[in-house]
Amino acid sequence: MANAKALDKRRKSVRNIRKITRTMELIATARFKKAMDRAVAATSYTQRITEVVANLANSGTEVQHPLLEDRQTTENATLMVLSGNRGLCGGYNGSVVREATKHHQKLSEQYDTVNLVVSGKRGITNLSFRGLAADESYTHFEDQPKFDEVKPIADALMDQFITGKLDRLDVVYTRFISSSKQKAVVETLLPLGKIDRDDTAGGTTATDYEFMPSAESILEEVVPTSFRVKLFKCFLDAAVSEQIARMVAMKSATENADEMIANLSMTYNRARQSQITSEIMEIIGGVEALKS
Amino acid sequence: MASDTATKSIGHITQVIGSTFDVQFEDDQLPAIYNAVELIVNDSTLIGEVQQHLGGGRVRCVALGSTDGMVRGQDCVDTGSPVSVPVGQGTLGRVFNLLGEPVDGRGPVEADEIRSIHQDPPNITDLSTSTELFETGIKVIDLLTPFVRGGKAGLFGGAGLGKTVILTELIARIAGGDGNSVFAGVGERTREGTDLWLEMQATKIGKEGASVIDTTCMVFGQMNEPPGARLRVALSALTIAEYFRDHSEGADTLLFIDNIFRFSQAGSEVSALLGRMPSAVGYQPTLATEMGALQERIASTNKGAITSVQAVYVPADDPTDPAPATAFGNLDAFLYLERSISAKGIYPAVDPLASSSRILDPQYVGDRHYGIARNVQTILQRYRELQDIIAILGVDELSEDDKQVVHRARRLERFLSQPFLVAEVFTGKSGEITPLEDTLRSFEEICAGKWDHLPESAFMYVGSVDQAEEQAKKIAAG
Repeated sequence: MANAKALDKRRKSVRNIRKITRTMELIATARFKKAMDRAVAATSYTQRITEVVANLANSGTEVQHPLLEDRQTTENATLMVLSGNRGLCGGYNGSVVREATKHHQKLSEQYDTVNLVVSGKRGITNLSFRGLAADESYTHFEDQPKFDEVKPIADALMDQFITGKLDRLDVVYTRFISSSKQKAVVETLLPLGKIDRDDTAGGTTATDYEFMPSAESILEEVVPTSFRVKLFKCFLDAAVSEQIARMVAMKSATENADEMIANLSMTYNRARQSQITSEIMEIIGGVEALKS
Repeated sequence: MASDTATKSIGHITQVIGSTFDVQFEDDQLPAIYNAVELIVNDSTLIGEVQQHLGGGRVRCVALGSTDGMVRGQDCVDTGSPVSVPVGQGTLGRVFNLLGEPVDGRGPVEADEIRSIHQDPPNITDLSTSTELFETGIKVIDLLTPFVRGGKAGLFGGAGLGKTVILTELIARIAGGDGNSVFAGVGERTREGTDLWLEMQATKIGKEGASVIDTTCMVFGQMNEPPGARLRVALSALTIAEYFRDHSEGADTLLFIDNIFRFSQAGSEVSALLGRMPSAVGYQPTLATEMGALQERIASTNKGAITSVQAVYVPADDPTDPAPATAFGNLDAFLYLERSISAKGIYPAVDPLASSSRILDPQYVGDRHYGIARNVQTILQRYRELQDIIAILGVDELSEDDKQVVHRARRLERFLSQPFLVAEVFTGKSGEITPLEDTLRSFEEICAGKWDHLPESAFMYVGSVDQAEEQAKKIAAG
């Protein structure tokens, strides 16, 4: 039987781990509610504006905007990876990184240079371990990304695209599908038209629009906004998925720790009992031997 | 035992307690300690060994057979010498009990000499000092617990972990060489002894259809025997082995003992009956002395070497129990069999971290071997440390470096398994003898990450890593 003292020490350390995981579970639960509210609120807005842009793009040939054009050039691509700053959230960071590595390889085959933009400390270190150093990285996004923080990034990317320094932008993030399902996905955000046509193929039929004062001025406003919102939505999804992942991971970690504590307690009690029994037996044996 | 009848002193039984009995002799005719005394019980001869002089002409003896039917007042004859066994070439191919009587029903033994089972250990000036690795072809042993030629190796393990299987495997691999082998069955199942005997007759070795049994002598004192017999059978076997050592002209003598714990256990049973005060965990106070007296005789001298492999039962899987702990100190190499490993289906269930060898040292095995072995242990050690974290938080929470360690450790763990020659009937795989060089190369490459791409199951029950690759292809092909 194992050493009782060592078992007790181990049980103590498992108890301490349990305290941490339990607390993190509670915190993640609270944060998840807030993040989810924001994400849900943004969802309808994003959907609507995407639809509008899609309709506009399909409505007529006279509608042109640089963000919508499908480019044939394959020089520069940017891969944006949205991961968490912290661990202890199950497979959240792992699956994003895995997806990113896979997609990075695919992009490298098609494009001459692939620019890697990573958000989140975990993603930065994990990707650099796999030999993919981030060209640009952000670590200031937490559980509540702000639109004002995402906007400059979106604007910079748009500028690059319009000036021809960028031909394609893909974002790898964890899409929030429902509170029990999140999935690491790759989404092409630039050129904007690229996926919109797929999404709406056979869907809503083209609506007739009247542009006031002119089509150009409206598109000038709507299309960039649509891009910003879509990028922002990715950040929101990633944030809420991270909180859910953490909540679930910490919940099961707490349960595992409980189970381990129970097992260790049982082994400890048994070890202690057998130690006492053998000591008593030795004393009695000695006494008996002295008697005769 | 063959001394002149006229000089023999005769005593009378005064007390019988279990398997010990007291005999009253004339004050001036006391038999010496360890002398054999003889008496007739139920028409057959019972031998006892004098253990204590109680004063007033009384001696206390341990019976080396059953005391059933013994009566107080019965005559008891001092044979004038300790228990002695026949030794020499004539003992090869034969099976004996502890008294040196053949029990295989093949008639009398032509012995070169009759020797007392109590001998002194060799002088320190006669001991051999060479240290050489003894290759077994079993990966985990050759890599992590290399055996010493002319040294002692122990197989520690709880009930049912495969000690006897490893021991038989080693017999199949290394017995039948130039030297002779002696097998001592101490307090284990009689059936296992019979199995081994039949198997040895069936197993042929290289030259002219000779069987392994032709170079082997077996001595049995199994579970059915009284404690006195189990206490002395190891000495009888050792006496025969000593003779081979001294007359082998350089060839190695092999001594297999299954199971040395039963020797201590028998000693503890006898000890209580002799009236000694029990010591820690109820063992005899003379535990270390008895073990030392036996183990020190298993030594290699200038004349020849005895390489010994001993199975050691670990009661309740507790290696701190005094009996295995005492045996442990006498060994050069020891393998610790672990229940959690056998539960994973990995055989031999050797715990790579608890097992070790005296010669796993750059001085003896070379820097490369030592480096690889330590590397393997480091990886497995780290994996074990991480196991609690994995159990609570899951493997995803580990850092990338640790994930890689876990990845390789799981492969190494499986690669330590190996198909056995003696287990062919059970596994359906033919036994693998892996040369040391292949073993070293395989582990080196796995540690370096060359085989990270193979699935874990490819590493189960293969010889070298090349076979793992083949197995991976087979698995992939379905």
